[in-house]
Amino acid sequence: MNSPAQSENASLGRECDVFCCYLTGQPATSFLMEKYVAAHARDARYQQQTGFDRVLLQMACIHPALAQLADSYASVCARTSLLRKKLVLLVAILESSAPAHGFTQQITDTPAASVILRMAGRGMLFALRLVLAAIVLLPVQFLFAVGRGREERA
Amino acid sequence: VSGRRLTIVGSGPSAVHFALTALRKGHAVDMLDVGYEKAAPVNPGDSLEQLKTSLPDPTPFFLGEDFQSVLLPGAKGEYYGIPPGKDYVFRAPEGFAVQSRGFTPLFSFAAGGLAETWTAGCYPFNAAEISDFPFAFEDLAAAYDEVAQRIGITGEADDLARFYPLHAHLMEPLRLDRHSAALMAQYAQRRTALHAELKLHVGRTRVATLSRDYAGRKACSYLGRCLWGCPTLSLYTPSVTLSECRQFPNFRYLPGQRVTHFRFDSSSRIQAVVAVPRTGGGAQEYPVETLVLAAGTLCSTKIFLDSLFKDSRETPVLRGLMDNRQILVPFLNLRLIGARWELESYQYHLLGLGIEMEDPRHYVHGQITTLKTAMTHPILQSLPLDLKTASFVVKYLHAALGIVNVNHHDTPRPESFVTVEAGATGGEPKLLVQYAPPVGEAAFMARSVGTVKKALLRMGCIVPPGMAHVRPMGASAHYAGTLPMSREKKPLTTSPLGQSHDFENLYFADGTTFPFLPAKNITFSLMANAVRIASTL
Repeated sequence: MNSPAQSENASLGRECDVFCCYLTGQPATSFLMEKYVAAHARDARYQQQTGFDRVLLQMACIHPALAQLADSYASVCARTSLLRKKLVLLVAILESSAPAHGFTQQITDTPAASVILRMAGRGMLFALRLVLAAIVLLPVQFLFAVGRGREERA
Repeated sequence: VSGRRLTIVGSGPSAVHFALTALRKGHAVDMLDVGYEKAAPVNPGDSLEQLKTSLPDPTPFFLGEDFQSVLLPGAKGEYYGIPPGKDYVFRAPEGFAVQSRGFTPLFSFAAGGLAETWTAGCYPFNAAEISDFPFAFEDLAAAYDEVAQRIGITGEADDLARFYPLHAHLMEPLRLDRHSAALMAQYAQRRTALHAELKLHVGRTRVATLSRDYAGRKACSYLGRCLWGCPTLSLYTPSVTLSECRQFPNFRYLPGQRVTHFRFDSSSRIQAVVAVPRTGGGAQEYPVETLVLAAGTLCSTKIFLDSLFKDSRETPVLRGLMDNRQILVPFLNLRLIGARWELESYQYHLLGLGIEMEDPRHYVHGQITTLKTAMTHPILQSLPLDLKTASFVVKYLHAALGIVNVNHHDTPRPESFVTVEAGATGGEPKLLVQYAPPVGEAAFMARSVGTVKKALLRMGCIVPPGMAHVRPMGASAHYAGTLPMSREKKPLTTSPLGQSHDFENLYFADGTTFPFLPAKNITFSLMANAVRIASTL
């Protein structure tokens, strides 16, 4: 039987794997998982969560596509959420690691017109994801905010 | 040794150049310093990108052992982007207490001081800028030549030479990266209009980074590691001169000691300095013949104030604290959208700009940095996009991104001051710092930033709306003016040679004595002023 710590690490490993697939299109290497878990063990800010944080995180951990949907919403409506913190941590680990781990930012020279067109396309997709996510998550976030307000008043 | 015995407090740029001048003149020097040391550079021949592959685990190098360099969303305060390898520069010993209002002071207790993290800009003051100093420009000019010879400064006689006087020993400039070269070409096309309509000039910055092997140091090898700590000492830091001082038999470096105050007799002659070991334990006294405070303006001021407080319980208020207001203006060079960026290049500013003002002392100074190897996660998280889309956007705009660090001058004003108050339970007094911006600062800022934005637009660059960032006072770490030089012998001032008017055997060799603060980075002038003073002893 696994200890609570082992279960927690396995859960973080799965989370890292889904987030890695979302960000790089590749599953997480054991090195990335080890670093992701180690960062969680060293910094309490990855443990602090609200009710809405839990919902957002659970949704994001189901599938890379849902991770992007949740991140799209969080990037506008929950910028300091636990999900964003965990994703930023993973980006920081990825950009500090060898390109073999799946993250490279270098490009070949690309005409500006092509870049602008591709950015416009990505922008439209982002807007679509944001609307879709807002339909589901905005009411949830609202309900949690109301509930928390009541608790604080009580 | 036939000269004097000098006790210098601190090991920053002022302290080490004062010491070297004094040692060469035959004086004996004891240097008391907290002196946190930097670690040896890892894989000094590797570029920043190579380190990601060559290090078995690169994350401690890039993010820190505890991932403390990851900038998480919602982080409060100014982001300095200091990499983990430079954490030692900001490590503070126990017992040093400070409280501030309108000011966010930075302190360093490292061997070499705050300049261990500087970006190596070396800009001599001109005659107009030292018109409030009680000595002639020529007195400082000779010292600039001397410091340039010691540390190696690159640059050229271009459009910015109208603001920075030329000095001897100027080395050929560093290689431009692709973006900086493009900006210079864009400037060349618009030069006449920029001069005539905006009074704005662009050129090469002067930097203490070697373009060729010099004085036992290697030329810049363009490894892209500047921000992370130059592994080859091509980028000068005061610890280079500290090492040089340590070769002298009449030099004693005493690290691990934080000087808290000095003790003086009834005739106001300093007898000893009192220091506490950084590792804890009882205070220790060091007898003093001549004391030189060069620990940086705020630390030197605290030692001075604590000494008065210990003696008489008086807490004088030292008015006139100055610092350069800095505004960061990020921009996007439209001609470089979609371009590949150079990782293996010099990372700090290679270009600068200057804006003429009616009063030449109000010159506005800017340093242009093109972004190459800085971590991108702080940028990605700031965009209102999911991180995958943000990563795509930054990837294709990376080569086009740049930032202008706009600097303003400052003048001594009574509303900005430093004092101390009694510490809790009779302990060490606490430093109190208060800063109030000058009247009219907002209008001056709007004008200078507006001029920079217009110039960038004419050079084919845009500044995203709302992105200019006014840094808090204290962020530039160019502190000065608490015990200014004065020709008149009055309390709480110094002579033109930095000799205290309150204590005959006390000298100030850092920015404490500057009566005016031009917009330029003052480090080169701190070094030169220290050489000027030490040359007369």
